[in-house]
Amino acid sequence: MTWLAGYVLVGLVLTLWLVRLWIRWHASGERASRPRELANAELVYMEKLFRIREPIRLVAKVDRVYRLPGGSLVLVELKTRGQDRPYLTDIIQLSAQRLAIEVQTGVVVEPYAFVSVLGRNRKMRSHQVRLLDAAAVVDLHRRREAILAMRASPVYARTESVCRGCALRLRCDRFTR
Amino acid sequence: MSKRRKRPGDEVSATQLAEMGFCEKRVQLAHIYGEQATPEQRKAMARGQVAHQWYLEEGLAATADRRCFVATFVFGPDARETQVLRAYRDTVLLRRDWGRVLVAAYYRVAPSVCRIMERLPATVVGARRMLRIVVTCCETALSKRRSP
Repeated sequence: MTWLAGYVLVGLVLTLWLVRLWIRWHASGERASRPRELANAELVYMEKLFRIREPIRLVAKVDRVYRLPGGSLVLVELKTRGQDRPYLTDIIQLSAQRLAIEVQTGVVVEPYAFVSVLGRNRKMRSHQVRLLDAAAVVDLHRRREAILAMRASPVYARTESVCRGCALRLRCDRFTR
Repeated sequence: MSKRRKRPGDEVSATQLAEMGFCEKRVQLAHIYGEQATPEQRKAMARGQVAHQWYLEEGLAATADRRCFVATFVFGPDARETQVLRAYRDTVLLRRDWGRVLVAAYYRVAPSVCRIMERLPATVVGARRMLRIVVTCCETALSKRRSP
């Protein structure tokens, strides 16, 4: 009898697992492209512009914003690239978007976000990233202002190999020295 | 190629700020000489624009057919009543702990309620009457918040 109950239980778990797999395979449209962690979230903003004047003058256009059942927002940014991974630029962009939304709407935006990378094979994978806090975004903005005003020395890209594709390479003193 | 130099202190976009994470020297050169792109970069940008358009259309299609929320189901997505309830959710409920719990619970229950109403159209009339009372209460609460 105990064995029979065990078999029934295992069968039930297996069936539920297969149903879950079937649903995931057959998910289509927006449901299929959203990160798995946002399965119960509501899509609230798409391609929406947010603009703030304080603490910095910033404009940010978000790709998608989801509202979690608890009310907080989560950002998702779409990227098309061959490398299936998020970059520091994605994290800065999403952190700036987070600051703009929080200041403009007053709604809490989660300190994590997703970078959905659409590869050349049309397959999309989402990567969760930790965002910078507001102070770090403001500091980065100040540094940018200082660099543009020639008050600070800019740092070059981490490796020279990434400079191969740069259109401003011929103007750069990293190569003309 | 835009040669207009932005003054420090001008509005910056999230994308422009993000470029600081790639190469600060490039940010400075683009500021001095204007933004420039190689043919490969232009192709990649075009590919990105197409992908973003598809991503947007997919999102719009999903939200247009969002019938799982009771007010949207009963009144329609753009009805005044639905907008009042949305405004109440955003400006009152989501700013309080108990409100967030209530919204979370509602999101769990609402799809099942919608499915029941879909099967039993007679229940929609009753739900509409009840929701109108709720909408009036929400409107009163919102107007009280707006008035100084």
